[in-house]
Amino acid sequence: MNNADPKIISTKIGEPVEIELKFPGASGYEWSVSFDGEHVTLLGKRRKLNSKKMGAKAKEVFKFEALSEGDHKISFALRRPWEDEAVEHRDIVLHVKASEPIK
Amino acid sequence: MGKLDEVKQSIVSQGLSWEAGTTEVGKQYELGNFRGLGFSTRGREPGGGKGRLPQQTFAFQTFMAPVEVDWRRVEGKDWTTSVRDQSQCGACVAFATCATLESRLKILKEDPYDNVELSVSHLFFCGAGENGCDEGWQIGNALKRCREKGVGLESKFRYTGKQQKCKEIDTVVRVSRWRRVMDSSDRRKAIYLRGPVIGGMIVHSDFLWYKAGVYRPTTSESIGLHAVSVIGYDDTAGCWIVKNSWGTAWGEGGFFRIGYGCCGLDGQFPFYDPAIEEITR
Repeated sequence: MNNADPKIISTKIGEPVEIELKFPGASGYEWSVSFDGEHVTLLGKRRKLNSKKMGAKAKEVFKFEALSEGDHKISFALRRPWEDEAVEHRDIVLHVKASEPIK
Repeated sequence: MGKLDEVKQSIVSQGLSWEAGTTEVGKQYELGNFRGLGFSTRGREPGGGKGRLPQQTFAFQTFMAPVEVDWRRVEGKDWTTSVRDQSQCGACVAFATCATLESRLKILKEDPYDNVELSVSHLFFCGAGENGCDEGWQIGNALKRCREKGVGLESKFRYTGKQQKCKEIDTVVRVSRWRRVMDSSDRRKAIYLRGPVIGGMIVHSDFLWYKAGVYRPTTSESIGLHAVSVIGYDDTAGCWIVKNSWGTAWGEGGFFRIGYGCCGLDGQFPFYDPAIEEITR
């Protein structure tokens, strides 16, 4: 699926955001991710394998944190390392507001 | 540092010998370019000797299997069929089963040129259900389906790489029975005496970057369970020779070699050793 209408996630500066995507790892595919490092940072990622069936899709959880206010796009592409073309694209927009001041 | 560089660095730091990379278009792997493949004349002829192919009895003989068997080169002939590509659908169980049955058909008929292309779609989409592409399948269930319903020809029900609706077609092969083989020596004998077998393995993230050599994982991170067709072994190199279903641009022309004891292939997962019967085509 090519995501022409990106999903928007509202967040605040410094608030962790988790994005979970399924992927067919047993078919040779994995997600690659791109974003503007000035405004967003990737805190980490983990993979979950819940099925004992062969060929079942796994899940990948990406954990981001916004560094500045505004709308920041995170682009995901599902592809095999040995192939040029991605088979699926997903865009997520982080709609970031400033953190509330500590009272 | 990119993922490929990370994998390459891990291979070096762990003292492993396989090669990571991406196969360039137009430079696909040539079968004769690596050492150690081919059926060894140090042992008996596979199948028990000329005129005895196939040996579909499950009683193992008392002799030892040879140190090396590769069904791409037994008696100088290729008893495997073309490497295929499952694309994004988790139909590996059906691909591995069909690849194994296609080879077994050649061996049954003692004709390496009898290239039957079985319908992965017939097996998978009529057996694994409506969400098979996402949910995967089990090898035992695939073999039950092969025993009860059989498998037809690809030309009658073509694979598209996406979830398809079941279409029942005429079958050309059935599995009459099968055996789960766990013992290390019996695994070799099953391949040597009767042909390729169906196996299961854990896919680690670095496996996607495999290009050549004897694979051993550099990471414990698993991204899925995978079914494959094991077409040979090499005791000298300490590896199984395996046909994958990720197309010919991956690995050694779509095949790979994997070290003994890796990824559960010869550990937690049995080899499935099917006996087949051909139905008139």
